[in-house]
Amino acid sequence: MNPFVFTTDTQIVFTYDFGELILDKLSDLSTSSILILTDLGIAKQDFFKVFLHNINQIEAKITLFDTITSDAEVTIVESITRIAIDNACDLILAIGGGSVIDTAKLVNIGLTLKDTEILNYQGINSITQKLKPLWVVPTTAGTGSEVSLVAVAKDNASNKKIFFGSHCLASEYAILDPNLLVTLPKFLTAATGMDAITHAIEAYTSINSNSPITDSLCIGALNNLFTYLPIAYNEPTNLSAREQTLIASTMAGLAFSNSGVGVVHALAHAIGAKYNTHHGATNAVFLLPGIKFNSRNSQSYYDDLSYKVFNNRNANQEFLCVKISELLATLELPLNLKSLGLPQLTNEDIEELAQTALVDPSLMFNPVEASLEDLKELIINSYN
Amino acid sequence: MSTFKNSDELNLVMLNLWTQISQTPHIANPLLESKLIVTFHYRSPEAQLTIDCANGSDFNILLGDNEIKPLIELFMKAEVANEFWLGKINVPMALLSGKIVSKGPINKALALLPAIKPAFQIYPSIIAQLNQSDS
Repeated sequence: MNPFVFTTDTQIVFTYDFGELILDKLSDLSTSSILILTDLGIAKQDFFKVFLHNINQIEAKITLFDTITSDAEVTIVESITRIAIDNACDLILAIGGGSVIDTAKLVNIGLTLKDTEILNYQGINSITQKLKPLWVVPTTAGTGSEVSLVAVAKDNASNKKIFFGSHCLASEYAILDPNLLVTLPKFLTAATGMDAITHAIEAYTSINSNSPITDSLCIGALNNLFTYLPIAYNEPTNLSAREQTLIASTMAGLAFSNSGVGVVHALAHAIGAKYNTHHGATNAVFLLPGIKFNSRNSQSYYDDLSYKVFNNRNANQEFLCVKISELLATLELPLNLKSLGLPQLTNEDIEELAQTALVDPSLMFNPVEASLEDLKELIINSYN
Repeated sequence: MSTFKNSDELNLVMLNLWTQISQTPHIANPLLESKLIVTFHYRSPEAQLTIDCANGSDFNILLGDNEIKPLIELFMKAEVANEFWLGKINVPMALLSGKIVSKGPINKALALLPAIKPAFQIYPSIIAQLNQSDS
């Protein structure tokens, strides 16, 4: 076995009452100023209104920012960081999906280091200082951001995704409450679920995937997701299905944080930055083309994964692809870039997208080296 | 055992390497086109090297502290740098494990990799010269 390092800095807590758990934990601390981050969709939910009422009863000052939009946009991160510094916040609480959680991670850098210019801290492991406590409550099952050591921001000025990676970005607590998922819209259930599936598949086949810990997390996550994601999609209030997909998403998040992802994510980041498409839905479009591309000389990874996930002696890469196709049909997700809403792509568009994907950090973990021409071909073939 | 006895030896090797890179058009030209400024921070032994291609035509190699603000900074042990130039290091793994720390736009740092890989052929002869002069 090759030497490996597996890192996690987050305590994962599963509960059926996130609010009570947070208030209980806060009662043991001397926190004086809490920043709560969420989005408008969550802010209007009854569970959030009840939680906000209850947390406002404690002695700490509460600052609420509830208008985070899709993607952690750099200027929004900088505005919230200013608010957090001005209010001397000593704890950040993020309740939401990947965009809310990534925004919270980036605000935490600026808040702790007292610097609103977040772009100063992009890079890998360049942040070495322990940051202020960050508690996260995911309201989707897919991004894995609650346990990941990375954050992705969107820079509207350059239409590019900006990458931050450090174990210091990890949340202190990831509080998993499946009750928060029962009102998740069907599209988000499907798209975030496919994000988790992509994390698990790409982490398993990554060039860094040499750890039996990440392998087990990927297999376990995929086993759960192939079984329970269709149920969560068709029966949104099925709590068992929500539990399983939520845990699977966290498992996949732990795996990809340690192994990396691959060409599917590289392409999805490039498309998402230019056309604002949903990250999980974009991953879903590129997942099968990505597997087929990598199977040119890494098919055995997918054969092995398929055999282990489906516990079937005859399962191989082809079987895995059939299962993914069936799942995509069940989840009624767009199958190509055109149906995802992209306009007709010009040669210049394709060149620009492929160039962006070529230098995306995800690509360095892909099991097969992808050239500019390979990426252009993948984009062209995924258009319709 | 460390490849470099002290900072002077490390500086000499890196200066020699980058001078040869700057004189090798198929390696130097993509770096000049990138117009990047990259600073390498080495430890054990300590050294600092800045490659400044900002004006797109001149290849400036600066040793030690300077006033230039780099776009990308890379931090590593000198021995990791030695393994890198020998083509023995898995860069993604080194980044994930913190052996190499990258500050600045990581996509631009990664874009440099294919450009400087041909220099892996130059480095062994430079290290061989160092070993000869040491013996």
